[in-house]
Amino acid sequence: VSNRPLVLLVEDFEDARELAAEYLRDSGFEVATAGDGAEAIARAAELAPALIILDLVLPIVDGWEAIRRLREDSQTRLIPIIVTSGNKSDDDRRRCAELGCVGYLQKPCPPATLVAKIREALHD
Amino acid sequence: MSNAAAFLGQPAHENHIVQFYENEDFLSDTVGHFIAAGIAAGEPIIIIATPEHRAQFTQRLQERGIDVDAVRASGQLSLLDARETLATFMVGDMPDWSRFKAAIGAVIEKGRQGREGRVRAYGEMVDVLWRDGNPKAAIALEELWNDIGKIHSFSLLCAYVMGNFYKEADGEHFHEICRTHTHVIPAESFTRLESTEDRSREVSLLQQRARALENEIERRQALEQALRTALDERRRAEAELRDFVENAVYGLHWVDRDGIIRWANKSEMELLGYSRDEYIGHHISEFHADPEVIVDILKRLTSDETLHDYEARLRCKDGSTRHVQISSNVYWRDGEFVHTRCFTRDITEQKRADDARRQSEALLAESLAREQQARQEAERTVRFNEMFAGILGHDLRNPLGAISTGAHYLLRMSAGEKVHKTALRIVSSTERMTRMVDQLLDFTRIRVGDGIALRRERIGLADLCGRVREEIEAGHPERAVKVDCVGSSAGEWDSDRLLQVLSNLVGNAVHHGSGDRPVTIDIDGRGDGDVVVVVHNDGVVPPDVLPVLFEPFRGTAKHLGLGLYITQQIVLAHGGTIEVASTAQEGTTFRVRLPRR
Repeated sequence: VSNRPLVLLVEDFEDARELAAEYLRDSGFEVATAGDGAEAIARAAELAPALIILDLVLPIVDGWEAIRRLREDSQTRLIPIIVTSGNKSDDDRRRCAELGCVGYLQKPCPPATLVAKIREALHD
Repeated sequence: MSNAAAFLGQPAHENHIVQFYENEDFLSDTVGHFIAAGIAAGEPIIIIATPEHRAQFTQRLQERGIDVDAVRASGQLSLLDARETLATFMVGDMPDWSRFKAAIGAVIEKGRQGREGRVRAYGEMVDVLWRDGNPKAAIALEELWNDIGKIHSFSLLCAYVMGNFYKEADGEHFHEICRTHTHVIPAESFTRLESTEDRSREVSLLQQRARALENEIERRQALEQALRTALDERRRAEAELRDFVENAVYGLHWVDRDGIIRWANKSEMELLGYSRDEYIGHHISEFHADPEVIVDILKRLTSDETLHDYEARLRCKDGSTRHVQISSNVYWRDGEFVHTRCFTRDITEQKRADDARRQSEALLAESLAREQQARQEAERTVRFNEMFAGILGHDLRNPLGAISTGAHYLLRMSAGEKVHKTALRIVSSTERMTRMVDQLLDFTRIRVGDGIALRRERIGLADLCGRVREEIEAGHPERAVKVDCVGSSAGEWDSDRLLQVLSNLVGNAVHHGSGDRPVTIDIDGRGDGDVVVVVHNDGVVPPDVLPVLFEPFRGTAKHLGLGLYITQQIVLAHGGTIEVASTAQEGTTFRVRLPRR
């Protein structure tokens, strides 16, 4: 069993998802990926990752609904979530904080910033 | 026997006597006495009188014991009819001398035949003429009697009833009659008085009465004049009122209870072009273009309603139609409908003007609506374009993120200097592109969304300026940025947004400045309400650009030109102001004033 923390990266844009996954693996994380909200909920329940990086705009089940369901499920409700969003919206940022998300990053986000945020969340 | 009776018994030759009388009995007595005396004296007698008087005189003579028929038969007494004798010498309205002389001369000569002495005559042809209303002919005839008296020897008695002279204007004629006679005998009321004393009293009384009557006449004449003046005044007032009514600006008419026009003024008939006969006496409904309207008008008036400005259309003689406003009510007398009092005002021109105005208003409204529609269309297009730009900007973030991540990943690999340099350029370009996308999204939010939302917190402007200086100096180590602050720079602002403002202003100052002098940031926090930040460099904004510096999309191919626009919008969202001044001598200064809250 690896001692590298497992991060579930949820992003529907494949290029961004795969490059970010590679960068995170290179930065010392185990990375699992999901391309939509429904898959994200299923994989979170299945894999119990240390942290979830979640895009808000997703097919099938959007990010907001995914957060709600993850928070309802006793298996997943304590997993920290960092939200990534294309919207520079203060309302979204506030709402994410109220739902217990540990971070809100606006895209495009330099990968080093993402890594720093993940580390900060895992150490808390 | 009175003096008058004595005189009439023995008149002299060529006496032309006039006897005035008041009643017929007195006349009959007087003439009877005059004739009887003549018969007794054997004188020829001629009586020219009306049939009634001849009968009365005959009766009086018989009462005196005279056998009238015998006297007539002897030729001493001639009885002639006044009108028949007049007819023998009247030419038109006047007596003719030649005919008179021939006719009367023949009568006198016939009476005189075989007898001595004067002829005694009684005549009342003048009285007949007078009664017929021809006093001029009567006086002329008196003159003819005087003239014929110069040819034939006779004494003549005339008689006038006083009733002929009761009018004031008769005075002159009365005087004339007196003048044409040699002797005047007053009427019986005077003649019958026996004593001189009684007659003097009577004369005095008559003088008093005459004076009183003269005064009364004067008073009545004055009264008559006043009445005449008042009447003239009234006629004038009536004429003015008639003129006012006939020529009033309003048409006026009366309609009776059956709807028949009983009267109309000139104005109304001129308005519609009808003559009096074509209008008055006709039913009012013949002139209304809308039958239901006149039915309603008559119904309301019959119910004692007063109409004000009731609109109707009247038919003119030439076939055209006039728009009118009718105001009317009914004149009632003892509960009976007498007639309407109808005022008709022509509003055709006003109506036409109203229609024209309404039409042009409708056209204007239509063109305004079209213009509004076009504007809305244009606004929708602009909005769509702006939204499109926003969506595009948003969607660009994903591939941009992928590129950025890929470039950073390459930088981490040890792939050689060429790869490293290339990766650096990709990172730099993605940063610039990220800024452009951010600006595009801000612009969309300002123009299409709710504007810039602020997340206020208590911060210090001096700290923000320090961070900006650090960022700039990190990117441009060769350039100096100097920050000065006096007073307190604290306030409740959105730190991210003000960082955006300061980065933009200082970044521009560095980019456009000469590099010889530092870019300065002076913070003045001495005021209670505001903090003022002044960013200055030695660059110059071209004069033609200065007035439009804060407008969006002034950029070149490299820049969107949204930076200063968004900066201004952020300052305005904070309730602040931003100004710029730029000259070759002073350089360029941006002055931002921010209320502390």
